[in-house]
Parts: sequence; structure tokens; C-alpha cells
Amino acid sequence: MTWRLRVESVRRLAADAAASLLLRPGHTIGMVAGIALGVAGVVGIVVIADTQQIQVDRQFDLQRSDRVVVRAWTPTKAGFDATRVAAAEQLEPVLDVGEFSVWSRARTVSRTDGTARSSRPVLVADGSGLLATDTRVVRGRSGDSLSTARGPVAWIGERLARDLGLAPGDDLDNAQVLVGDLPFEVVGIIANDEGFGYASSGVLISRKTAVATLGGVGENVRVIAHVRPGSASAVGDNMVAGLDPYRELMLEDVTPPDGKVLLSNVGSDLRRIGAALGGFMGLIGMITVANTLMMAVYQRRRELGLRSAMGWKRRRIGVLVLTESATAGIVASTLGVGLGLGVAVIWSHVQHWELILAPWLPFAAIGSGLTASLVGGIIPAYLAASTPPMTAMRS
Amino acid sequence: MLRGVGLEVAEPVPTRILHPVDLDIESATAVAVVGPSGAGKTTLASLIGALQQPTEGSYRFDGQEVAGMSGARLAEFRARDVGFVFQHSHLIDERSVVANVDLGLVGSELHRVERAELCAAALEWVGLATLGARRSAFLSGGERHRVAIARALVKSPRLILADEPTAALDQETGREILELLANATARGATVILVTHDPRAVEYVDAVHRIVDGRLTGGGHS
Ligand SMILES: Nc1ncnc2c1ncn2[C@@H]1O[C@H](COP(=O)(O)OP(=O)(O)OP(=O)(O)O)[C@@H](O)[C@H]1O
Ligand SMILES: [Mg+2]
Repeated sequence: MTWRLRVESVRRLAADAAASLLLRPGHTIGMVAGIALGVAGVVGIVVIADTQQIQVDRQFDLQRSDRVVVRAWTPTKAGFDATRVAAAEQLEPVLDVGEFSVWSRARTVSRTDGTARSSRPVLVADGSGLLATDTRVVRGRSGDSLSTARGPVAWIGERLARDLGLAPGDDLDNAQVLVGDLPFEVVGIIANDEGFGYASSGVLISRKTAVATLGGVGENVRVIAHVRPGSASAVGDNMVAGLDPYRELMLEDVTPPDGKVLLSNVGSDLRRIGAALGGFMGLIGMITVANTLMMAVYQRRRELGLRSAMGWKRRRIGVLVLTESATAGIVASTLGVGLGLGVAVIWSHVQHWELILAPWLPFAAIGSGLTASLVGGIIPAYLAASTPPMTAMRS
Repeated sequence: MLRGVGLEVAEPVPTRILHPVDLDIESATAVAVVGPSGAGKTTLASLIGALQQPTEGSYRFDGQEVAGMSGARLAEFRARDVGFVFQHSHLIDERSVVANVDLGLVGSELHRVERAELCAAALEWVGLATLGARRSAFLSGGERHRVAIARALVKSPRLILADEPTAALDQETGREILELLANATARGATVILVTHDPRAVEYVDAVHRIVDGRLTGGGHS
């Protein structure tokens, strides 16, 4: 077969399929609607999720610009020089500045009887570090006493307290936790919902306590400053130079910090929900296609039998039905993309958001819609191909 | 040429539908297969038209053995060599007359323009040259049969099989259809008319009678 005849044969198949679809508008609309709504659902949700994510990121950018994080790559047991930190606090745009370090990213924390074990971060901070990160002491001893605390005393995060079974309002008098196998007296409960959420599920101790009990120099040792918006970069430079003039600690300005990761996770959760919902609707669309085509094939037994009697091969009859489902799938997905985008555009407009559209999304959506309708067409196509040619003679 | 061709079915109970028959048909002649209802006429026609395979015997078409061909080869054989006209015209109502005739051009690797010419010629031959663009649903019963004949003839098959082509038509129209079919021999086709219609014998070269799944004889008219 030359390419011209091949094109001609494909064209006839497409024309045949299009005619069959147009001849049964009721069926076709039902089939198209299933897939179209599924695709519209995914596209709408993903676009809105992406758009919303950008808004969240932007808002966070604004917030982030008022937190400076300076990290020590070669920390020492002594930590930061208190007088130099105090000097940094004297800078005009600085509201609060202090240490807020992760001494250990994961330690086993449990009740004193060894139950309720889990892996938790151990934080080291001073009172100003808590202020700079908006970490609140919700109960117990104030954060100021961190600078004097030496013994095995700890503040624990609100969530950790709940997981350990310390109900809110419980007397903290005799509360204790094991970090590793070391007992600590719980003297306070802390919480943070400003992008340093891990404080709510970790254990907080003073630097002196950390050096004395856990040892080491800390895994992620940082000074965090709360500054006036817009001054972050200037303050960062100043702090790197001012806190470590002899480059002992190898300070580096690592603003933006941890919080960003946290919020991005929220965004991708939303997308995952969109994808799951879309998959579910795609499944329903697929079943609709299978069901509709099955009915159509049954109603067309005479016509299919006639084609078979006239010498159409099984494969060509199957391909005809698959072409119909593919055509319906492409039309439906295109409509669905249009519908989903339309909803997203209107939603963003109402919210005064700038629409964010991943360029691959429409293609992926049409591809998935096409795949769903093709899969839905497999059984009907097989049934159609199996119509015996005698059907034409006996009906 | 059929030699000892028979058909037995297993479902629902093993039944013999057609006892082994021997049958020779001259090419480019018209023959009628007649017999009472339930005798096995349609069954014999379906074997000759390769719509199903016999369970025994040999069927040679122009020297080529048809019994034993695979499903795909049978489809090719039907596409190339057999044109069917059924009791009901089996047109796709929603499509145009030309589109229905074009359905008969299965497997032929022709360009659009050539196909259109063949369809127009076939429609002209059955006397419907002017109706090509009409929606098939609007045709009269006789016109529908003419379109079905055009669809069977459009690929110039060597064999035309018609099963009760006149059963649904009035006297006059039935005659016209029989005449059209018999005239197809002039185009080189072998025509087999399966029918109750006693008038059919007037139009054919030979008549074969079948009763109870047995060929009981026949002869030239
Ligand atoms: N696949 C099959 N399974 C079971 N019985 C069958 C099958 N095909 C045909 N028969 C039976 O074989 C007999 C012959 O059928 P056939 O259709 O060939 O008769 P016919 O001569 O064409 O009759 P009519 O003139 O009524 O159309 C009938 O009794 C029919 O029920
Ligand atoms: Mg019959």
C-alpha cells in the first residue's frame, strides 16, 4: 500500500467513525460528558492548586523577607559569642535575634517507661531565638531561663506532648521524658506556627544542657533574626561579618529557611488530591465509555454483521470501534480542558490571582482522557469484532 | 464446485443442517436455489458465500479451495469475490445512498475519486443515477433493494448471492429486482438466487431444489 492509500484508508476509517458518532448523538453526548467532566475536574483543580501555591509562595516571600537565617558550618561547643549577638540586636531593622539550632535531627524520645517511642528533632535555642522565630511557650517556665538552664531540663513541643499523653492542663510538676536513654524533666510546652513547625513536635533544651548531656556541636547551628521587611539581605551580610569576624564558625546567610519546604508540601498535597480525584473521575468516564459503546455495539449488530459479511476483517471492525472511542475521547478531553480552564480562570479572576498554567497540563489531560476512552473501548471493540458475518443473513 | 459439502452444528444439540451435497455451478450463469421453508437454502447460500465454514467436504471456487481457509482469508475472499443481497436491504439509514454503496468497496485500495466513479457507475446500472446524495432513510422499498444491489455489484465480484431478495417487495418491484440480478451475469458475475419465489425460475439458467437439507435434484430451465 502506498502512503497515499494508507492516508486514504485512515481518512475513511475516521470518516466512518465520525459518522457513527454523529448518528447516535444521545450516546455520544453521554460518553463525551463522562470523560469531559473528569478531565475538567483534574485541569480545574490542578490549575487552581498551582495558582494558589504561587499566591502562598508570594505571601510567604513577603514574610520570609523579615526572617534572616545565618548558619554556622563549623560550629563549636561554645556556640555564638553573646556580646556579638547582642551587638547585632542593636542594628536598627533588627527586632529580635538569637540562636535557634537543630542539635540533632532525630533522636528517640519516649515516656520514662519506654512507651510511646518516636523519632524527634532536638532543638537548642535561647530566649531571643524563641522570640525571633515566634516560638511561644504555652505553658511552664519562660524561655528566658534557657540561658541559665544547665541540668537535664527540657521544653517539649505541643504535638509531642499530646503524642506522649500529656493532656493540656496536666500538671507538669513531675513530667519527664527520655531522650535516648537520658531522662529530662519537662519544664514547659512550646508551639510554633510561623514556619518553624517542627518546634511543636520536638524537644528544646539549652546549649549548655545539650553539650553536657548529648554532646557534639549540633547539626544545624543557626542564628535567626526577626527584622523589618525589606532589610533581610542587608542584615544578613552584616551578621555574617559581625558575628564571626575571624571566620571560625564559617557563617553563611542561608535565608530563606525551612518554612518554605513546609508550605510547598501543602501545595503538592493539593495537587495530589486533584490527581486522585481526576483519576477517580477518569475511571468513571472509562466505565461510561465502555457501557455506552457496549450498548451501541449491541444496537449495531446488524450493521457490524453486514460489514463483516462484506469482507471487513475482525481487526478493522475492532479498530473502527476503537477509532470511535478515541475520537470521542479527544473531543471530550478537549472540551474538558476548556471547561476546567474556564472554571480556573473565573476562580482566579474572582480571587484577583494571576493564573498559573503548567504548559504540559492540557496535553497530559488530553492524553489521559484519550487513554481512558481507549481502555474503555477495548471490550466493546472486541465484542464488535466478534460479530459473526452470518448475523447479516439472519436478521 | 461443491463436493460433499455438509454442515452439522453442535449447539444446542448436535444437528445436521445440511447433508453432504455435490453442486457445480457454471461461471457467469444465474441459478436459483428453491425449496420449502427450513430446508436449508440460507445455510447452503452461506457456505457458498463463505459466511461460515462447512464441517465437511470440499468447496472450490475457480480452482481455489475455500473450505479450510482461516477467518481472515475468508474475509478477504468475501471482500474480493462475493457480493451479497439480503432479504432486507440493510442500508445504514442515516447515511447517503452513495455512502452505502461505498461500503461495498471493502479492501479495495482505491483513491477517493476512483471510488466515487465506481459508485456512480453502480448506481447508474441499477437505475438510481440521480439519487446518490439522498439520505437512505427516505428511499422506497424497491429503491432500497436497488441500492443494496449496487452495493453488491460495485466491486464487480465474481459471485453474487441473493437470499430472498424479493420477499419484502410487491409483484412488480420483485420482477424488476430479479431482472436486475439476472442481468448481472452479463457483467461476468455468477448469480445465485435463494428464494421461495416461483417467478425466479424464469430468470435463471438452472434451478436446484433442496428439501430437508438434501439436494433433491435440479436442472436447466
Ligand atoms: N447455526 C444453527 N444452529 C442450529 N440450527 C440451525 C443453524 N443454522 C440453521 N439451522 C436450522 O437449519 C434449518 C435450515 O435453516 P435455513 O435458514 O437454511 O432454512 P431456509 O431454507 O433458508 O428457510 P427459509 O426459507 O425459511 O429462510 C432450520 O431448521 C434452522 O433452524
Ligand atoms: Mg432462508
